[in-house]
Amino acid sequence: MNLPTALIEYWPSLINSLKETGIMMAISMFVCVLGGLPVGLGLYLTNPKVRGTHPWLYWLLNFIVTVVRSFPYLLLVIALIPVTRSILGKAFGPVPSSIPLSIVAVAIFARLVEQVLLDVPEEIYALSNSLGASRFQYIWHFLFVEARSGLVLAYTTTTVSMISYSTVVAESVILLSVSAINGMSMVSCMLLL
Amino acid sequence: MIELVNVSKQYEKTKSLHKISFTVKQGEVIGIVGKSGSGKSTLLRLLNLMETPTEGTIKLNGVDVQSLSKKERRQQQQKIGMIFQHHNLLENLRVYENVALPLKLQRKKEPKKINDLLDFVGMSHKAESYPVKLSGGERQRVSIARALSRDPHLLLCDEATSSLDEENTESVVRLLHKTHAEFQPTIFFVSHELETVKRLCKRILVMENGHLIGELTNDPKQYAEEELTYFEKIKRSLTDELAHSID
Repeated sequence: MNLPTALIEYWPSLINSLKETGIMMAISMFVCVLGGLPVGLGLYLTNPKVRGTHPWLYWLLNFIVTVVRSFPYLLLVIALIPVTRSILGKAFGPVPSSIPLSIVAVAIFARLVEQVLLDVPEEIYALSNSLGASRFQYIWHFLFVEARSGLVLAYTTTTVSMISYSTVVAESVILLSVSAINGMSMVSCMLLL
Repeated sequence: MIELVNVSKQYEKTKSLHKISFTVKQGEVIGIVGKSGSGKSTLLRLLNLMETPTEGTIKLNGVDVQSLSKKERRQQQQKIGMIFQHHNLLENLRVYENVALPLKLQRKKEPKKINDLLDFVGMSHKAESYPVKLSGGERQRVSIARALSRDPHLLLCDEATSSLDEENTESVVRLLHKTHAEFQPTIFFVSHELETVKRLCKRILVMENGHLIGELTNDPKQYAEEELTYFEKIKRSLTDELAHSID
């Protein structure tokens, strides 16, 4: 089968897959901003090296973000199946797949946000302090303004990573199907694949 | 009127200021000179209410700053302008937006005032530029305009000319003279360059290791004598440091 013939034959499936990827990406990237930005900001503001006054909160956030980011994604998707099923009533399809994708997106974006904020020069804090800015004003008028381009870049990087992660969701479906057909455990099936 | 009585500041184990006392009348131009680590910048941070003293009292226009609540302190800070060594401009904001920033924090929009200030510092032609396009001298002019945007009664200059070349230093000193003549704020000019301070200030406080070790006035004879003492002291302390390092 040559390329044009294959394209014609699989065109409806391609469009359908693109649509499903679009749904997964839209949901997860929306949750990513809503969750990742505050978590990243929290990591920055509670960091004891940056005037943070709640080291235990920093430790907790840092631990959660590190665990989620270092967890093998395929295993995370499988491990979250019961959670996804209890929330949405089903474990497969574009919308349920957005749950593990969103969790990873939040963790990745939060870490990138923290790095970008750490790069904002210390002089900016001195300026806001000298102008009598409140904590909210410091975050909104100084920190986010100075970190703007870095935050956009971090969001773009997370989006590209998430497109790659979204393919793993399909792999997990294949994995589960193969393991079910052959009556194998998921781990042995994964090792075989 | 600014009054400091036995003001000390301690950071964990290091004492940065030791029992500093002086009084400054409204509209005076005061220079503070001393080597790096002598406590000049700490003193400015205390005057700007960015920090509180460990001991002693600071009174700004009769108000004891330690008795102020967080909100009242922020209100006091709005009447104080500060100019930094590294200008501290927001790189993602245009010149106009940088100057308007202090007013924006108070939810005020005064475009005419901002334009007048940019005219005053000679930067109106670069109002739409980003700081990255400006020279060091131009950045400092913008920072002066920003400090003046809230009509401060106190203007604090922390090593404002230290990162500038001779020509830009001269233009910033001239601009500060003009600022004083036009707006009459009390100015504190901190620097380690005694020559620059002498060009601007009639009264100079000399600091060393957190102590106020002397005061120069505009009397040329006293200048010569005190300057000698100042340099003698610095020379002696440098010799001591060297002797310690050899030991």
